[in-house]
Amino acid sequence: MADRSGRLSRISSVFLYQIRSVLRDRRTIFLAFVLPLLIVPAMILLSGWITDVREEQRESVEIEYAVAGPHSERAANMVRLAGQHTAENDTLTSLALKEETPDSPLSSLADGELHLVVRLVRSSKIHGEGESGTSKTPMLVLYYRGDSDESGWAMEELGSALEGLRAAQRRELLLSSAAVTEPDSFMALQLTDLAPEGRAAAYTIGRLTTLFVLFFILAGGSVVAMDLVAGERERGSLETLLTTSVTRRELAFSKQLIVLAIALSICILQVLNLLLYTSLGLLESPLAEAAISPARLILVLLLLLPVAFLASGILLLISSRARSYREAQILLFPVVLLGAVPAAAPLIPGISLGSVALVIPVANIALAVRGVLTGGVNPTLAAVSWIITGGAGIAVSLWSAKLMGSSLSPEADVLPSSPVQLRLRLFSKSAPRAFLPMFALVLVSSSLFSDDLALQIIANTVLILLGGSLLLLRRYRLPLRETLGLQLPSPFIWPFLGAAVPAGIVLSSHIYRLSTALFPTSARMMEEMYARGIGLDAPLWQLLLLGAIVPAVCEEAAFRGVLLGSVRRTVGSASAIIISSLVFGLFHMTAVRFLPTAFLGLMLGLSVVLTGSLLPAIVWHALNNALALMLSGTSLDPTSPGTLPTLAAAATVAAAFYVMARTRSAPSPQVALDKRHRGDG
Amino acid sequence: MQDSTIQIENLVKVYHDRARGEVRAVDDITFSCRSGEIFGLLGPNGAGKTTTLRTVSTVLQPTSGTVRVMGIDARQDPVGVRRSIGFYSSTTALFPRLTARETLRFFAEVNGYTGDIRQRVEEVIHDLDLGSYADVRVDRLSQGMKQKVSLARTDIHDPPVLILDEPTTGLDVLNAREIRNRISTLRDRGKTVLFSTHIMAEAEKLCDRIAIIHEGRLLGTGTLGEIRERTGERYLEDAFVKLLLRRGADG
Repeated sequence: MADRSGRLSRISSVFLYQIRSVLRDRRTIFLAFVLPLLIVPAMILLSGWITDVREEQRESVEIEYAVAGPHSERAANMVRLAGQHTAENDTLTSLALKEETPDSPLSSLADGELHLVVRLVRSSKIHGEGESGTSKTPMLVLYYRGDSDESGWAMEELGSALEGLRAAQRRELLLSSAAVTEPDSFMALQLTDLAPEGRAAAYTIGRLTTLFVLFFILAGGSVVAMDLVAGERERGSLETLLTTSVTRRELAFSKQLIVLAIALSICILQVLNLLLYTSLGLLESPLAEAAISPARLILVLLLLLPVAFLASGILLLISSRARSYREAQILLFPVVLLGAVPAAAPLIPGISLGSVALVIPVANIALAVRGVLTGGVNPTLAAVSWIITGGAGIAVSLWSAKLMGSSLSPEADVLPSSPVQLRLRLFSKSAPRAFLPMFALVLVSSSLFSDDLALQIIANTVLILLGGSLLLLRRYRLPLRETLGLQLPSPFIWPFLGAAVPAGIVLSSHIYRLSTALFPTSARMMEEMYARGIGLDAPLWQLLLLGAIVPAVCEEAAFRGVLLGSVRRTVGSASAIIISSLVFGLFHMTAVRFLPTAFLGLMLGLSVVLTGSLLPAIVWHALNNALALMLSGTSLDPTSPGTLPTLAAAATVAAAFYVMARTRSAPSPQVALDKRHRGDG
Repeated sequence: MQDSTIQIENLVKVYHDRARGEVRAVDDITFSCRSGEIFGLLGPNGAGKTTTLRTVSTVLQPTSGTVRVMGIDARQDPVGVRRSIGFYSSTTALFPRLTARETLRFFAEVNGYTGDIRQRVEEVIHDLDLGSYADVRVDRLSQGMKQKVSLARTDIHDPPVLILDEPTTGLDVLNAREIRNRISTLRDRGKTVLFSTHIMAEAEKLCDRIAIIHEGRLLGTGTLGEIRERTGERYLEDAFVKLLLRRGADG
């Protein structure tokens, strides 16, 4: 197109002039660049200073203690001996002890007048039962207060002094009595950390890097992003831009580039900052031992690119959605908090990239970054993480392009002209959100009924998915048949659909293989899952009812009927098919089933969009499940079909979709409902 | 009509306001403008002038009716329409941290001005006598200077059609006069200026043809002479009131 160069030059003009304008704002420069650069060394210095001060205070404390109990004389003696022992031994710092004699030592300790109370008891059960000779061992009990720093230090100091004294006394005892040889020749103990030098520090850095960088991007980028749309809308310069030849998409794209440029500069600055403190050792800190190589840091930077892109897109989205600068700032806070959650994934014990975390944007990158900094990462998984997070970034930026112009015009407040239309609109806004609590419920019920598959299926599909969908329809008083699209499609499609079911299974077996390659550890789990499913030990009709028909009806009503139908009205058919498939995949909980399920969802979603009816999807889904159940019971293994069968399968599925598209008679369910009610009321 | 640069037919813009319900901001308006003329939209505040102009400039979508600018349908090709217009309104602000010269260069680039941008910018700076202020940041300029830069920004890509929504509001006599002179100059160069105002004297002084608008409806269109003739009133203000009363009697 001839306009392509014009488009590029418009985007670059907006980018260049706006970034110039952004960089002239001193507030932005300070918040986005100077502050983060100062924070890291300031934090290191501060933590060093705090350690020093505490150490100093600790050393200067005079331990005020009292003895209590029947053997107080002996207890006091032991404490004094311990004090002398530290004074004679140069490996320990000498203790400054001061004995007090209050009337009631324990209540004085409680009032904060004492640091410690020492009490000697004669315990009969210190060592294991049945050991003779230990029944009368004296035991010193140290009472201290955990809510006071000084009391805690006193406990530690006196405790270790008493330990030292005990060891010395034992040694003397051994030497003077039975020991033939020097007691130390019996055994010496040394603790050695086998992790390479600095690995512990690298581990700490690796777990926190994404979280820190994301936080700085959100903090610094937000100043720019909020100003670029919400601020400009308020000042009026956005409207000026919207009346020029720049399209909304070009505008959104160039504005996202600006936020991204700022975010990336912050990212690079922070990584360089890290380099400065870790490699050059400019500041003394345990983190400086990490000694991360520049090559690894560059890899980290590359991995963080899609995070920066997604974060800048989200910031711009908030800014586009808000009607004012103030509203944008209010919306920003929860988003920063929520954004931190996936970035904190590496802090969760035992989590790895080869889990469901792989499909969660940001969390997957955070795990990959940890991998790079602490050892190794699977390059395929890192690439998949990169693509998933980057893809989420693109989706968000398209969305903000849509919102950018909308709240400028009064059309944002246009109310639909009929009650049914209004309810449909409210429905399509709230229905997708309803899948979040549904997901939580499915999560709970799956762990609750993990032993009973039949109960689990009924709870998840009938109660939660179908029940939730029906509740939504009832809440917005929408007709069941028309909203879900339960009208009959053309009869011609059925034979083609019948052929498409096994063909679809052949195609999805490839996806399954890909999925098991991505999640290698999960193959065993899959077998177990199948074994359990077959182990239902139920008659065939029950197996088909619970394994095929019930899930087909309930899941189609929820994912294709409610979710696809409602999302479609806001984002269009193609995106809606993809979104509903991804959610469909996520609801199947296990990582290895995610991709194959989502693929089935794509085919089912397409059938709904092409025929305008939910029924083909229900039939397809049921037949698919039934066939898969039967195949898993036989020795027939469909996991590795050859090229020719695969091509034939693809052609069969394509033919089915072609027939669906050609014979289509009814318009899309909710669109039809909307059209019919336009203008009345 | 070949020589119509702006054609508006049966334009309706309805929006729904939570407080007032359905508002017909523009109710079945039809008029057209030619090149080399200043067409004034005259009416009190809230008459529907701004909504009409924003619809012509594609910031708003019409509820029904058609808008054509230089033969391009606003609904089908909004970018095409925006390429051939310059739009100014009190809600279209400049970028505070760019200088006047940078602002003009930016809008020339973004609107795809095909000639020598540097030369064009200097020309406009000279025409509007912005010289000494050209390198001062916009947020440090006075209101009058800002408005001048805004007007220059509207015209920088040399579009055939200018749409100006109350361009003299908030200005003192001298600055307003300067802006009016500039508008006349642009007309003399063959441009179409669609211009709105609630000041009768300004319309009288500046406009070749006038459309009187009230509560979203057109009360009358024509040259000043034609409106005088039709109402039998010498002053536009009296003519306006007479048209309003006549409409009331009809309704």
